[in-house]
Amino acid sequence: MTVAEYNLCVEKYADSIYRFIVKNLKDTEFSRDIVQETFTKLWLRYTEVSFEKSKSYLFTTAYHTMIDAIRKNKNTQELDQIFQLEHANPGHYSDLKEILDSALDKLPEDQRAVILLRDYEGYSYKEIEDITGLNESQVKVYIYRARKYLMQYIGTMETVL
Amino acid sequence: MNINHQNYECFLTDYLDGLLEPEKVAELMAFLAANPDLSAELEQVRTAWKLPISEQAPQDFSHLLKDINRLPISSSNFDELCIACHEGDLDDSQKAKLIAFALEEPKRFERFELFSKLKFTANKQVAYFNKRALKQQSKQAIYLRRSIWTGSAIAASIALMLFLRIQEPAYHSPEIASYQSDSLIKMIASENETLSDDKQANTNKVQQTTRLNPDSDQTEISGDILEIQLAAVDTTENNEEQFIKIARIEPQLLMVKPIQLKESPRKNLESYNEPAEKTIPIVNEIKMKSTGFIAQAENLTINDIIRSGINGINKMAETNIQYEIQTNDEGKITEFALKTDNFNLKRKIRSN
Repeated sequence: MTVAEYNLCVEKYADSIYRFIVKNLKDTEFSRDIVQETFTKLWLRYTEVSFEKSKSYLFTTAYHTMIDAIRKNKNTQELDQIFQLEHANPGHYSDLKEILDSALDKLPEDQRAVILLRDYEGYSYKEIEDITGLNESQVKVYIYRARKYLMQYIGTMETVL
Repeated sequence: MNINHQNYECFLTDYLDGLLEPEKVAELMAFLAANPDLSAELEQVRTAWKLPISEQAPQDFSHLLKDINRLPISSSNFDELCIACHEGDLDDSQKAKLIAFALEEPKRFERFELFSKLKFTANKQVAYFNKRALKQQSKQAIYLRRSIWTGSAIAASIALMLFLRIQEPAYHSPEIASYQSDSLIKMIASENETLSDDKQANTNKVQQTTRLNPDSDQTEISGDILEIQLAAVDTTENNEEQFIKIARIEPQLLMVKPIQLKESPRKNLESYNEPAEKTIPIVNEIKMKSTGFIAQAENLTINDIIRSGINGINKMAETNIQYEIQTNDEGKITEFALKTDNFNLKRKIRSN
């Protein structure tokens, strides 16, 4: 791609990537660093990456950078899902969005990333496979499991209403 | 929480990951024993999940999901099919069957609809704070921008120099220069420095002792230095008028104005040796001679020189230039003023 196309990538995808990362990490400063690092990596190879594939390249790079960062700084926050389900108290939340955001935090990072790629960017299973390096079936399983977990976390419809 | 068809998979995967508590393991085993159709699935899952995901060969996990479009719809797989429906994995036929099944019970249909809401939407107001910093410029653009800035800086400097050049005192103009004769004398001295006997002026000029600080502020005189420039009297026969000008006392402080003398030209050199009726009163030993001035100063201060010059001008041109000074406790001039009816200049003198 050309320099102009690279700058166009910045304009088009920087916000999306930032939203994806910050939703995963819940840390704005760290997320900015990852976004910056992502685009730096693209800039170093911008002549080798075509503009049409730049979005996928950016998300792939951002995803792996994020996962590496998470695993490096991994705190013991792999909460027992069952424990969380038992202690979930949807009655504290006023709307579904808050409940979903809270449930999202409880998901393992892989599932969380896959769900956000699916919902935020509308990627297909195949595209998510390319980005994350997971098998397409694994992607499906993660998505299914995450959806089921979200449903269980929410509880009954009466609680939400 | 009891294990049921709705949540057994979570318990199952945690069991396979070794995260399930012992009492829950027993409960899960009891549940699977009570549901033989799930036991087979357990074996399949156990095989597939034997290794960590990252170490697994590219395995096809599709058998875990079976052929979703051919599955008979029941309560045990209702959630899975709802997810598949909202993920777009069901064909139209299976989807219609699922909806029909959901409509059989109101709560079931509510659950079906709730699955459709389990999606996250991006908040468009969240944006990266500084996209500009991420952008890059081509080398050509960088060179062009630097060239533009450099060129602009040079042009601005030239324009500033031209502007300052225009603002310089009038005595630099050709008109003033034309009045200056060869006998132009510069008298430059420091207030605290007197001219000794041996520092006699030659026929043209006094040896300079110090120079005006070129970096001085236009409204202040840095140090105790003043520069006085007295133009020579034009004694050419064709010129019946004689002009004395004070070119400047301080750069750009005074505009030069020709002051017409009413005294008639001297006819010969010798006549200058005699005190003229209108001569500049000399303090101590300043003499004016020949076609120019010979300055021989002794024990003079700059204040004396200035006052002498101004008094002489007043005499010769019948003007009334008043010269006033203010001194500090040490006797140094701190402020001077030149006043006429139409002119008033007051400046402070800053000592270095």
